[in-house]
Amino acid sequence: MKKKVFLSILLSSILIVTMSSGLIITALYKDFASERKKELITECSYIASALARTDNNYLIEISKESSDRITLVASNGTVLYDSFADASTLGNHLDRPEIESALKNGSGQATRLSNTLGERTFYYAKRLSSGNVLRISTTTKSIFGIIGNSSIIILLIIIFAFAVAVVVARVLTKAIVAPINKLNLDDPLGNNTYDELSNLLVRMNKQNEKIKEQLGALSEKQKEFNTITENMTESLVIFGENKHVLSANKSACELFENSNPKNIGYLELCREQGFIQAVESAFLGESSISKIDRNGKTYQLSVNPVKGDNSYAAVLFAVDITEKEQSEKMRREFSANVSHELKTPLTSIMGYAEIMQNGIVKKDDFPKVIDQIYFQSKRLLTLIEDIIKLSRLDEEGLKDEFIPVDLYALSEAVITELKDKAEKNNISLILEGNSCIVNGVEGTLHEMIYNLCDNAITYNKPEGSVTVKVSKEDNHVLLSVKDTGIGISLMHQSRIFERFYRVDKSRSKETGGTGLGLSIVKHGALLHGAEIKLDSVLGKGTTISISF
Amino acid sequence: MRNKFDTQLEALNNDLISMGALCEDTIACAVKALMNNDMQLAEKAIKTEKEIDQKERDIEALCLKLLLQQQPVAKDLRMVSSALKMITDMGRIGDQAADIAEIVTFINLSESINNLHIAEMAEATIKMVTESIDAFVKRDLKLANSVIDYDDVVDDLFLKTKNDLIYLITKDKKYGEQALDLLMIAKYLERIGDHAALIAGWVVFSITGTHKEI
Repeated sequence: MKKKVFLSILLSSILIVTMSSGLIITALYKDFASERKKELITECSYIASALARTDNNYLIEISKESSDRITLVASNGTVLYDSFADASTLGNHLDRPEIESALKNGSGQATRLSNTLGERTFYYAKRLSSGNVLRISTTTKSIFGIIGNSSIIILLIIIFAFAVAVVVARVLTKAIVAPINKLNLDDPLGNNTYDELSNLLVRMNKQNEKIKEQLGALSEKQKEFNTITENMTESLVIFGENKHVLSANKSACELFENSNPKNIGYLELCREQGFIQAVESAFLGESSISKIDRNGKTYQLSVNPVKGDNSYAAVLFAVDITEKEQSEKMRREFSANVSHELKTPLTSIMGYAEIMQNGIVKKDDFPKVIDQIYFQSKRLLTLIEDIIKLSRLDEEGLKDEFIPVDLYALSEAVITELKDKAEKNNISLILEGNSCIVNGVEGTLHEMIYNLCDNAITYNKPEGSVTVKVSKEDNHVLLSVKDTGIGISLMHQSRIFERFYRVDKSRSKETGGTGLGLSIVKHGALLHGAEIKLDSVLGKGTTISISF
Repeated sequence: MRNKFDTQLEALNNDLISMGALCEDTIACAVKALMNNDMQLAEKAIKTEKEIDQKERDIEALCLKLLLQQQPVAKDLRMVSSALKMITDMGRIGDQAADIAEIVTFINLSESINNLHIAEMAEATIKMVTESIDAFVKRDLKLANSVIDYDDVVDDLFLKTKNDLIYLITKDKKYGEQALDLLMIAKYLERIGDHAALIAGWVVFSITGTHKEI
C-alpha cells in the first residue's frame, strides 16, 4: 500500500510539474514575442520619422547601435540599404509579403521561421513618405530553440523537481499511512482515524469480543479440568500419538517421581514391565489393565487407547490398591481360617458319632467318647459365639448401649472367675489400683479384660504371676495386664491382633482357645476409642495396656 | 531424510530403554526367586533372558542400518556406537541373571542365604543396574559417575560374601555344595555390577565423547 501511494503521488506530481511548466513556458513565450513585436513597431516608426528629417546616413548610424536588422527597400523592390549585409548582393524584395503589404497599405508584417527551425524572424515594414519602404526585423529564438538552448538547465530543474517530488511523496506517503500503522487493534473503536476504515474496525471489534469470549470459555473449561485432575488421588497420564506424555496430573508426577514429565517418552516415565506392556498394547488399540509395585505400594493401571487419525494415543489411569489388596488377602485368610476352625471340632464330633453308629465303641468307652463330643461341641459353640461377638463389635449400633462402668470392679469380677484356672496352673493373680469409671458396654469390657487375663494365665510359666492394674493418668483411665509368661517375639507382635492368628501354628489343643480373643480385645478397644499398647520381651513376659 | 533419521534415533533410544527395563526385570525376578525359592519367578527370569537376546539382535541390526544409511556424525555417532557397546553389556547382565535363576531351579538356597551378605549384594547390584539405565534415560552424567563409583561397594560385598561362605563351610561340611553355588551366584552378581558400571561408562561416553577408565 505504501509503495502504491508513493508511486501515485510521485507520478501525479511529476505529471503536474511537467504539464504546468510546459504551459507556462508557452504562455510566457507568446507574451514575450508580442512585446518584442510592439517594440519593433515603435522602433520602426521612430526611425521612419527620423528618416523623414535626415538623410540615409542616419540609418548607418542608428544601425550601429541597434541589434535589429534595418533594411531600406525602394518602391521597385531594390534594396537600398541593409544593416547586416551589402545591399548590392541582396535580390529584389518586392515579393516579400511585408514589403508588398507596406507598399499597398502603408505597413506590413510577417514572421518567418529560419532554415534551422531554432530561429524565428519577425519583420515589420513601413512605407515612408519618400515611397521607399523601411523594414526592421528581429530574430528571436523559437520556443524549441529556447528549450534546446537551455536544455541543461531544464534537465537540472527536472532532476531537482524529481528529487523534491520523491521526498515530498515519501513524506506524504508516510503521513497518509501513519494513522493506519498506528491503529490499536486491541481496541479498534478507540482509534481516531479515517472514516473509510470504520466499517473494518467495527467488524474487528465484534470479532475481538467474540474471540475473547470463546477464549474465556475455553480457559474456564481447562481450569475446571485441571482442578478436577490435580485434586484427585488417582494418577492420570495422557500420551500423545508420538508416545510422549501430553499431560500428567499431580498424583501421576508423584507416582512416577518426575516433577515435570511433559513431552518425555513413555519409557522414560517408568520401566516396570506391567506399565510398558499395558501402554504398548494401548498404542496398538487395545485397552488393558495391569498391576505394578512402586514405592512400596501396589497400583492398578488401566490404559485405554484413544483413536487418532491413523494411530492411537493413550490415557493411563492409576489407582492405589494397596489397601484393597491387603484387605483382600486378609479376607481370604479369614475365610480359610474360619472354615478350618469350624471344621476341626465338627469333624471330631462326626468321627465319634460315626464309630458309635457303627457299634465299634465298647460300652466302657462310652463316657470318654461322650466327653469328647461334649468338649468339641463346646469348643464349636465358643468359636461361633466369638465370631458373633466380633461381628457385633464391627457394627456401630453398640454405641447406644454405653453406660458408666467401674473397670476396677469389673477386673475384680474377672479375677474371681479365673481364680480356679490360675490355681490349677500355679499362677498368682494380683489386682492393683483403685476404682475408675469409664463409659462403655459392660459386656464387651468384661470380655476384653477376661480375654487378656485368660491369655496371661494360659501363656504363663509355672509359679508366674498376672498383675492387673487399673489407674487414672492425666485424662485417661489405664488398664494394664502384665504377666511373667513366655512373651511374644517381635515377628509376631504386629500380627497377634489379627483374627485367628496364632503364634503357635500347630494350634495346639493343649492351650485351647479360638484365636479370636485378642481380636475381640482390639475391636472392643476400637469401639471404646481406646488405644492398645503391647510391650513384650520373648521369654520375660508381656504387658498389654489399654488407655481409655 | 533428516526426519526419518530422527525417528530412527528415537526408536533406538526406546529400544535401548526397553532392553534395559527387561534387564532390570530379569535380575529382579532372579533375585526374588533366589530369596524365596520361587520356581515360577526363576523360570520367568530365564524366559525374559531370551527376550533380551532377541532385543539385542534387533538393536544391533538397527544400529548397523543407521550407520550405513545415515552415516551419523558427532553426538549421533557417539549415541549409535555406544548403543552398540551397551547392548553387549545388557545382554551379559541378562545372561548372568538367567544363570542365577538356573541355579535356583536346581537347589534350594533360601534357608542358608539368610545370614549372608548376598541379599545386600543383590540389592546393591539391582540398584546399580537401575541407576545405570536411569542415567541413560535422563542423560545424567552425575548419576552415571556415581554408578561407576558404586561398583566398589559391590566388589566389597563380594569379598564379605566370600568370607561368609568360607565360615559356612568350616562350620559344617554339609553346606559345602550350597556354598559353592552361592559363590557362583555372588560372582554373577559381581559381574552384573561390573556390566552396569560399563553401561554407565558408555553413557558418559555418549554425553562427553571421552571414555572414563573403569
